[in-house]
Amino acid sequence: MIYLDNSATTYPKPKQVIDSFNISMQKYGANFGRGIYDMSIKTAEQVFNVREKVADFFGVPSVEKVVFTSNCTHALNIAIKGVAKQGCHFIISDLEHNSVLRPLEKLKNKLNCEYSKAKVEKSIEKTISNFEKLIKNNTVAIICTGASNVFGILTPFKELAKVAHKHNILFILDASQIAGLVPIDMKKDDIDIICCAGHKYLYGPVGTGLLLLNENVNLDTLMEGGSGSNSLELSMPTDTPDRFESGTLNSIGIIGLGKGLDFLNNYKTDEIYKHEFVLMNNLYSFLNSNNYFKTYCGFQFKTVVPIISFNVKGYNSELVASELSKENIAVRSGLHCAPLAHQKFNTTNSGTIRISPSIFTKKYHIDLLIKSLIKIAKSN
Amino acid sequence: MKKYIIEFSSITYALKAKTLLENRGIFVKISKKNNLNQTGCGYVLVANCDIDKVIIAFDMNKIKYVNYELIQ
Repeated sequence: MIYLDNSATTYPKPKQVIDSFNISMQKYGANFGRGIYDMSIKTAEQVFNVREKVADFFGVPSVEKVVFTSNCTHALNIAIKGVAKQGCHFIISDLEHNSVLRPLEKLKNKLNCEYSKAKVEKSIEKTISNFEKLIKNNTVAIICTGASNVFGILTPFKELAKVAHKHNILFILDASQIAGLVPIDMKKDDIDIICCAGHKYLYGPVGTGLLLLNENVNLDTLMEGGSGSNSLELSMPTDTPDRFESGTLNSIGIIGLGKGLDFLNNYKTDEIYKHEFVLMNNLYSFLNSNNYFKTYCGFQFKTVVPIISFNVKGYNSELVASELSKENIAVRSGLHCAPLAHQKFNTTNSGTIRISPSIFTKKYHIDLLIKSLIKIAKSN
Repeated sequence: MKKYIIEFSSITYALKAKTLLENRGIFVKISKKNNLNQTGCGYVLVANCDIDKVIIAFDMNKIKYVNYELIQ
């Protein structure tokens, strides 16, 4: 199979991630943070080591500010609902995923919250201005994706963090599509909350996500339950990470995520981005120079992450994906859980075919994709 | 050196403290609280140490502890 759906989840995973499952199931199978027996402590130490790796990777001020979640959607729900209060206002970009939109819609109904959409433009200055002019007295946070999961457009998230703080509001970054590709440093970039998938470009297993909190960020809890200590106390702990980690965590997945980070640390900054960009740039050049295909936005170094969405003229995107699947080529089609992005580029009716490589994608994978696309396009 | 039990609110803080102390050459053992007091169960570190220096190190590294007790 030629797998080109890495924006959904990366595949394959590095060998050390795969191997860690077998080891963890045998050696670290305890529910950590509960018992005092050897395996429970060893499991806890393994999880703690991953917290340290994550804190180091993202510049999180202290290890206890690293909260493990089941995925990025879970992390975003904790962040958004943890910040919300009656009648408050959020600002989001016009590229956001349903993992941001749907919690906000729920808050509209439940707490009478409102949200405004800011247009992301080619000009960073215009984009910043679009966000800033939407700030009101009741605005509590700017929520912005690091990059569109459909069109790959990188947002000026560092500049947006500055704007948010200028107005004493929080900045929440959805880093799903950029973590592992674009450097993020919570401390240096002064980002209040980073929400991230462990299973995309951090090369961890599915079932892992991260909620990273800067100092002095206080959130209400989304879920309450056992935290492994102070059981007589009926309120959730005030200290992180326990405050947001109730119930049994996916320790096996977390240990695998740690191995994913070890894998990433074998590469220099930008190395993976450059590898993927070259592959996608070749694809983009082909699509753009051929009348059978339609692309929707530019593809320039450091303005996008290596994701391309396009259509085969005269074809529904789902049909093309289905035809590619017959050739054993795995791509994503449709609306990608991101209706706003499709509204922005008028692709709501057609959807798009999305190609997203990983470090394991080779040039011949793209060559074979191109060959199949030509065959599909000419068969119309 | 005297032996102390140092109580923490979570396994994460206990392990953070353990890492700090072991990096300073202080061998520690993680254990569970013997008595379930007002709040219930929790993790402790057992260490032979100069507790005043340890507390200063905790404060400098923002490691929250609940309590400590001399045991011998």
